[in-house]
Amino acid sequence: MRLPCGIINKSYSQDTAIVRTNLQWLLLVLALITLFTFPYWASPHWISVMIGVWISIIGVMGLTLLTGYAGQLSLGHMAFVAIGAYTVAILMSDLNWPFWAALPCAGMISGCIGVIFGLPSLRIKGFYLVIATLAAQFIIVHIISRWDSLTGGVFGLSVPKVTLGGFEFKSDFSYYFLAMIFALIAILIAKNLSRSRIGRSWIAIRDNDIAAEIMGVDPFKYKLLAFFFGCFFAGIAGGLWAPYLRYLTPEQFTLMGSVWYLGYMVIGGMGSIMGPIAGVIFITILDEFTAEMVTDLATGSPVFAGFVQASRYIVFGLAIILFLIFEPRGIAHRWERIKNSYRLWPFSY
Amino acid sequence: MGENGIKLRAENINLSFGGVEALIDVSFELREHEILAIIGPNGAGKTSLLNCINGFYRPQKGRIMYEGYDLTKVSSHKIAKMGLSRTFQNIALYTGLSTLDNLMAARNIRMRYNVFAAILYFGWAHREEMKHRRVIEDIIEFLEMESIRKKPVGMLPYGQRKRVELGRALALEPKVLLLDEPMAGMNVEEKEDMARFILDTYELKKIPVIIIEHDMGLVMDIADRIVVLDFGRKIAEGTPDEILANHAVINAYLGGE
Amino acid sequence: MGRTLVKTLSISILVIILMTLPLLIACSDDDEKTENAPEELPDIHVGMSALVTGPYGAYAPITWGYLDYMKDLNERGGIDGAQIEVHWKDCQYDVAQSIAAYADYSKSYDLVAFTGMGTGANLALAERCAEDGIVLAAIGGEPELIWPAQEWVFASSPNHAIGALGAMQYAMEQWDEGRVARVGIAYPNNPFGQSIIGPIEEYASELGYEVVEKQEFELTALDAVSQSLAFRDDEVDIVYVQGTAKSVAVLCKDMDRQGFIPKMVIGPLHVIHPAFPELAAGTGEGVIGWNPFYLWPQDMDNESVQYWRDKALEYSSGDIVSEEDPYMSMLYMWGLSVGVLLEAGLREAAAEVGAANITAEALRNALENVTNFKTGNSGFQPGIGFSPSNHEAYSATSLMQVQDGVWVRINNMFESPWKFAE
Repeated sequence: MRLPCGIINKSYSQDTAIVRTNLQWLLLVLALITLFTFPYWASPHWISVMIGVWISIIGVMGLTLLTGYAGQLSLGHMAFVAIGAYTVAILMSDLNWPFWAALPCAGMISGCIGVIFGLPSLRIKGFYLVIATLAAQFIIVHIISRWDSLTGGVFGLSVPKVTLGGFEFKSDFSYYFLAMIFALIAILIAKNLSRSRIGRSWIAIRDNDIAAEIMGVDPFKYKLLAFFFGCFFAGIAGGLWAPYLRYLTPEQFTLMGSVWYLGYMVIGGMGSIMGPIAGVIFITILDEFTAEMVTDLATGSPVFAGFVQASRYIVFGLAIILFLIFEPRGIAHRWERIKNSYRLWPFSY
Repeated sequence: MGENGIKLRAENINLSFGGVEALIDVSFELREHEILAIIGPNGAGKTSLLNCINGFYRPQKGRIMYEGYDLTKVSSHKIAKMGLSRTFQNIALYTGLSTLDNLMAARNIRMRYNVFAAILYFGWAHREEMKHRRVIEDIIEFLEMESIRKKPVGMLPYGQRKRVELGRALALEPKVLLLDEPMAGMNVEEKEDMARFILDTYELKKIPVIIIEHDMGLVMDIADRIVVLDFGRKIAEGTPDEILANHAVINAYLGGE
Repeated sequence: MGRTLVKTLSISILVIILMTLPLLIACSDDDEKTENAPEELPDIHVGMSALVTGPYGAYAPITWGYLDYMKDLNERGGIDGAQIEVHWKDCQYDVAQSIAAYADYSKSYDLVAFTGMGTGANLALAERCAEDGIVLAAIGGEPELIWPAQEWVFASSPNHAIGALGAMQYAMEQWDEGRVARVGIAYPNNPFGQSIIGPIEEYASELGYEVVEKQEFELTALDAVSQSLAFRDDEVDIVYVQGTAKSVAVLCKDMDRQGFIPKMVIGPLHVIHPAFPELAAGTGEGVIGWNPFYLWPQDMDNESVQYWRDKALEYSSGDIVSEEDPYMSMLYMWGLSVGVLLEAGLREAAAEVGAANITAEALRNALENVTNFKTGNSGFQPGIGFSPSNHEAYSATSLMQVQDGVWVRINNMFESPWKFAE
């Protein structure tokens, strides 16, 4: 990373800091102000969309640690979101636990089950691991839809509201802050993990697992640690989903959802913390945009309704294909390049 | 340890893959203070021997004694913690990381902070990181890599990547350094630099070095002793002068009978 | 160098535009509806988390039926002059998207009613509607939604259990073997599939049959060998298959392949699709489907069916019906039935409190007073009515059968034996 002219590192700790220049501080403060005031000026629709974005960011952040950093491809991430969601739902409704105690449990249980499904990663990798994680998706959702006495089976179960003191997180307005604060904490944790010795060991395993082992990285420990954190984040995301949706059915946690999580990550950029954030926001906006387009066109001139039905996916798919052609390394990479060219302007050589 | 200056002793190593015998009854010793070169034609089993020392291959027979442990029964990452560090014939860097982070990744085994500290980062983990950063900066300075400190290693030219690999091996604070063809594919200038780094390391750190190398002139210059392998067997061992006069070696290299 | 720069710039701009898009859309939302002159009656707002695209896009005609009914209602003068404004968005059968749409519309407008798509969405929406005091106008579906009656949930047409029991009653009337009929059920493991098992088993002794075999059978299954063999080994007489046209066709073909021809095969309204006989490749002959609506072309003489066929042609909503393909989708009728429910409730409410004062509360109370509501436009179904203990519009069905490769009506609407437990 390059620094703008006149900024000189005077200590190692300054060199590794995330926010270094005055401009960066300014942007950070502005961004935080925007995020915290968002529900005051945005339409209700966008508040509810943003709640989904925050929660997805947490889940995709987990997948980024697991797949983007540690290189362990998972096609069953939605199942771990489901574990988190059902854990919170069951603890809150059956045992009357407060949300604040149920949520960490959701993360821990999801993480521990993730470790179990991560065990095959010690022997297999690549496409073979994808199939093993695919098994997680099917087994977990299957168990959830069959264990009627605990999960309500295919008819699902309802989830109580989140309360804090006497306050109920009932409206989208209040839930936005709940989701955002957890997402910001998740981003910070992911960033800290990624720049610590743990993150470096994950990348070492991802880039060259043989060399990593010979250079002292215990693959057993770090692969399972990656599965734990990846699924822990998924569990937290699920735990936040449950009281927001207030009703859970197994059909909310599909294979397609897992595939989309991978999609968010690939489009955002795999090995970076910015990646999931950019990916989730980009896809959500694109999705909203095409949905808006369908509604508008179909309302205005129903003659096109049939055509419009099909065009939503065509536009959606086309945008993603174009994006991957022009920016195969994801939005985060593009963002880095924009930053670099800004810093070096006007002498870019 | 302590047995009259022997750092590492390989005894009757036998390694085979299916029907192919890669190493047959190879024994050698590495002394406390020496540069030991392993030479031999292609396919002689040189890299296999290093892989056995690293615990990456498990020989079917034989022992490799180091500090009282049999390395053939210790897993690779623990061997690294015991102080055996190496470079690879085909560069095996972590391409997604910068030069600095490649070296820092090797410090992993010396860093003392746990997962919870990593999550919080500020405080304990940060102090520990900065402490190790100082060690890494010394290595970067020593290997003259300041200008590529923050470049992703995937984008570096071949010669520099070899240098980063040496840096990574040093970052482990090794007690024994294993170098697998550190100068392969380099031009004369780069080879001279690399040879200088190896000799400086040897002088400064006072650690024994095992080096696999094809450039005979260079090997004769820097090695204290040489082990010669041919088709998995040790055919000679001795000082450079002894090796140069050895008939078996000459036959192996020139293909005579 | 120049080209790279242009590329970099253009992609950067694209990214920036896409990043700032939510702001633009968020800002543009507010200035939509200011056209109404002040002296006019206020609009009545209803919402829908519609289903138009996505994996379940085949169910889009429900949305078109609903929208067409509302459009037609407004053209007919609305509710005593008050126009109905429908707020809808394509939510692709997705619970999260449905809830987002609900949150948006319920906050932005004074909604009196909301319609969701899919069991998961409806179950989740039911809780929110109850909390906010908004009527959930659901299409008929899972009995779990309306039994027991929830304060704010109303269903526009019979649920799966009503149809299934109506069909079973008919089957027993035809049964002349002089012994207890052996029934086998094939169902997918989801709310749609499981909703019929309990009722069919519960009514077994009353109607005079015995459930001897239950087989799971997914809607997307490509073969039904194990199910067919199980039915054959248990000497099943009547197969009730809770499936779609495609899945029922798969089962029919595989039973035929195993040399097993049950006396009767019955499916839900989804099976009544003109393509079914072709999908089943001749093995679908005699299959019965229950049907709570009259529809084109079997009921051409029904005026309301004729009316809606012309309307569908006029509005061309989602290719529901065309001159070349003289077939009206069951799903379209389903959508229309939600419109009938809303019209019934709104008219009753207008009579009680006046069209200008209709609130969700007024609509809810009015709906419970609706009895036998029927207009010239809603003759494609029986008259509808609700009571505090019954929130289902009606509980009658009729049956259709594949005869010589086409669906033929075999009886008129009759009351299903299903009775609500009080």
